[in-house]
Amino acid sequence: MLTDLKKTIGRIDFDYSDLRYEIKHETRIVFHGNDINQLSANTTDGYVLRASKHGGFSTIAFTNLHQLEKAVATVDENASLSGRYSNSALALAPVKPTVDRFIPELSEDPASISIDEKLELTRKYNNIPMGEKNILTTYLEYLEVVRHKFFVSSDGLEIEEKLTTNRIGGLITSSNGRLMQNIRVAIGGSNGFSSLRNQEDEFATRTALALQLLDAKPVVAGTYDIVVNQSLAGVFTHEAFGHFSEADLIQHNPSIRAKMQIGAHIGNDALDIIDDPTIPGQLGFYKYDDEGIAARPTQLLKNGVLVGRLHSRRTAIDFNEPLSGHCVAEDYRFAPIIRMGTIFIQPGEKSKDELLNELRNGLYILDAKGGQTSGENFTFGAQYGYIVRDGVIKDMVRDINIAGNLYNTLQNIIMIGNDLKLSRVGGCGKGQINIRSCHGAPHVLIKNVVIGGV
Amino acid sequence: MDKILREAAKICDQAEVFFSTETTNILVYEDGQLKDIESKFEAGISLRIIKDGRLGFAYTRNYDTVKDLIDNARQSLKGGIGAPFTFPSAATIKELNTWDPGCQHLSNTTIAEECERVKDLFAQRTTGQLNINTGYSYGTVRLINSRGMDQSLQSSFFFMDVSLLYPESHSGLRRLHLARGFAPVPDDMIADLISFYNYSEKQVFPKSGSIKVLFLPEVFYVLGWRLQSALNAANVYQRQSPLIDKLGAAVFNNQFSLVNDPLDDDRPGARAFDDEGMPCGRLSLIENGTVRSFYNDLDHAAKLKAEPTGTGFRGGILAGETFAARPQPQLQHLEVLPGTRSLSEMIAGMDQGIIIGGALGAHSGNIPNGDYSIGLSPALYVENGEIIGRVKDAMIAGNIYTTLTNLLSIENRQSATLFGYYPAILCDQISFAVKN
Repeated sequence: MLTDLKKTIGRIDFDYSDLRYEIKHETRIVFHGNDINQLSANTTDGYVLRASKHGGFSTIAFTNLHQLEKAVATVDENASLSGRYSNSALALAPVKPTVDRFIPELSEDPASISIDEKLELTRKYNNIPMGEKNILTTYLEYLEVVRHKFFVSSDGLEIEEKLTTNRIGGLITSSNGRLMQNIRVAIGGSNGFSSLRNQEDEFATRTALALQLLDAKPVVAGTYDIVVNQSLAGVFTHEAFGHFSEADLIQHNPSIRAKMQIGAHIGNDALDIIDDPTIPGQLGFYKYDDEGIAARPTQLLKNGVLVGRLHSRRTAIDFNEPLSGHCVAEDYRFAPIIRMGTIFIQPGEKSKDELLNELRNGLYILDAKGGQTSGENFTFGAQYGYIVRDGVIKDMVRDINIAGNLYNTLQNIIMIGNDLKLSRVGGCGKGQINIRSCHGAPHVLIKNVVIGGV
Repeated sequence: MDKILREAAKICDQAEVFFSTETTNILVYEDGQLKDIESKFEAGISLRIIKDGRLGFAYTRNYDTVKDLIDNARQSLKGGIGAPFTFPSAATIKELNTWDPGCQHLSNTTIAEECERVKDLFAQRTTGQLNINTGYSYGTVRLINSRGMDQSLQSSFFFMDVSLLYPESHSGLRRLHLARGFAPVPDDMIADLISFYNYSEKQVFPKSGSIKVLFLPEVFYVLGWRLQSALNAANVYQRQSPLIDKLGAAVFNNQFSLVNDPLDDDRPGARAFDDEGMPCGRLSLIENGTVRSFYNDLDHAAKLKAEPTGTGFRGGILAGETFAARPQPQLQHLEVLPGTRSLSEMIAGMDQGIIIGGALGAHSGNIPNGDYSIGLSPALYVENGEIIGRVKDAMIAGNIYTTLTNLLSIENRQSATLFGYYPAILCDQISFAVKN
């Protein structure tokens, strides 16, 4: 396949071009309550061509090679137009020619598991909440995505990579007739089907939480000191800081770019953050991004000082910073954009109990429920929490959302726990969905956070 | 397509083939600079079969793999997914004007020139950072089934989403221009955006509390999302909707009416049939505060023993390729009916309150329960009928069943947004939290 792709771009007259062919296999089993809504296993494929000409750059996604001639003509016209209306000519960070094939070893390849077994495993987990009296319904999905990618560029990159992701996750909804509550549940990863086995305890624990939430009180809106668990601190790291580390989000925003200079002291001295897609077995693991660049661990924040950034070939040269291998597409429908791989706050020395003792009075907030950022501002939800008095966990609270300002919050993270945990499922939606987006943290103590209740 | 239907029909009781194509061109400007031009040619086929009361589903982009497509659909029957419905037979549907042939020949140069005009208008009147997402799309849909249904559609649209960002932020104000074919952005849309932005450049520091909130059209989706959850027949069937027993009941303020109107072909994206082949129609969901109907697909219409509402659609925002999604109840033509007051009158009537121009975290609250808790990005602060600045690090929280009861007024015109056509709405007594 790589040879065919090389021949194809060899026939195209551009200053630079790359072509990605991708075969995508997707298996989906969906339970809504006791009903199965979907069971399907399908394979699709497609191409993405990127090209540069006359200082401009353009991308086209297309379905099959019959459309190549039209695709090339479109890219040609668009690249020329881009060159005419852009303020600066396109440049790409240089690369060394590389030929490689990377197919990570899996602990049980889901392709070797029958769809009947996948169905029965999902049904077994779904039956755990559905067997409880006050569980109203569930929405539980088995999702398996295999991206088999072939990438060639006119400057000598030839990469084949196959990435497999599987998960079972969704929502458990409880009701007592007056109130509905829900809790998320998710298991999975990128290292094979075995990550889905023997997870009954996780579903039982999440079911119990959904039921407990029916008796929890809504949190009172206001400003609190908080301890957040690993999941929530991981989402904060991803939403509030991580997106600001993606060079494409600040490249053409002069005021943010001026503030996010390497060397800027933007966080508390206790805070170190890294993005490392090269950790085997973790959800965000990959070797090459969708520009064919080898991923490398990228220290982003060290002792509160900005020391690195996530890049594509276009942004690395523009910022005059090293390539990081973080330019990733959802699939064959998209041009790659800069994405986090495995981003996390590096662990400190304190235990969770020490953090709660330092907190004294405030909230202990657990588990992310989605988040969003708009530059310096962020918001994310929490699935549940507890009031903390005199360092002791007390009553459960619900309906928690957190809003804040990146710079203030990075300064207000005053204590870092020692219990780093990384997420097992992802789903960042920066224009495209990245189901391998992995984040994590230890418990952390944050002062002066705005909490919106209901 | 016809061959697939013929082959599939041999192995099942009923079969349906859905085929879609789409050509898309998108230009992205950041800080007034053209950053990216992206194009897509997409096409694909999906197959649904019903055999012995069970439903199978498969899809492909590759027309050479008909056998695999049919095999995948047959494998899918293993799920034992009940099909309590039959595919619809041939029906006469309304003819709609959904197609601007000019889209096929529209040049990206024309769009780039329009962007230059828009850039000049902004540069003369504001210092805010201008970002533009613009482009056009055109495509076809054809749906056939073994009961004689054969419907097809050609459609096109042009869009320009214009944002003005505040310094050191991606927070800003935005407006969306939509049309069936290329059309210059209206000057009044640009003037409104600049005016709001310029009034809100200064940062102000109000106190937390219960407050009046004006939801601009771009933000109504926060409330609309929860309404759609409650009105969705799938959630009604799962008893996951607070509105289950409320058909005919006055639940919201009597100024509030919510309608789904796929037949309005003055707007792009009109549809005469849904993605299951059912005729579409104007559907009154909430009329003057009273719940009138739920929306369904064929599956949930049958499960609830209700009439199909012609709202079984595939795809949606971030839902992947249209053909790769199975039909579900969806409102793709939603609107809140306009009220009686102009936006300027609504603002002038606010003694103290905030105007929300963007929301963060709309997806993270307890949606089935109607709860929302959103970061404000941005919030403009109003005192004595005038915008005096913008608020940072703030949230509002509430529940739609309270918020849409405490509704004070609705704007007298609708604006296009990514999620529907909405007016601004003003509500009272909403919890507002801001950093001390």
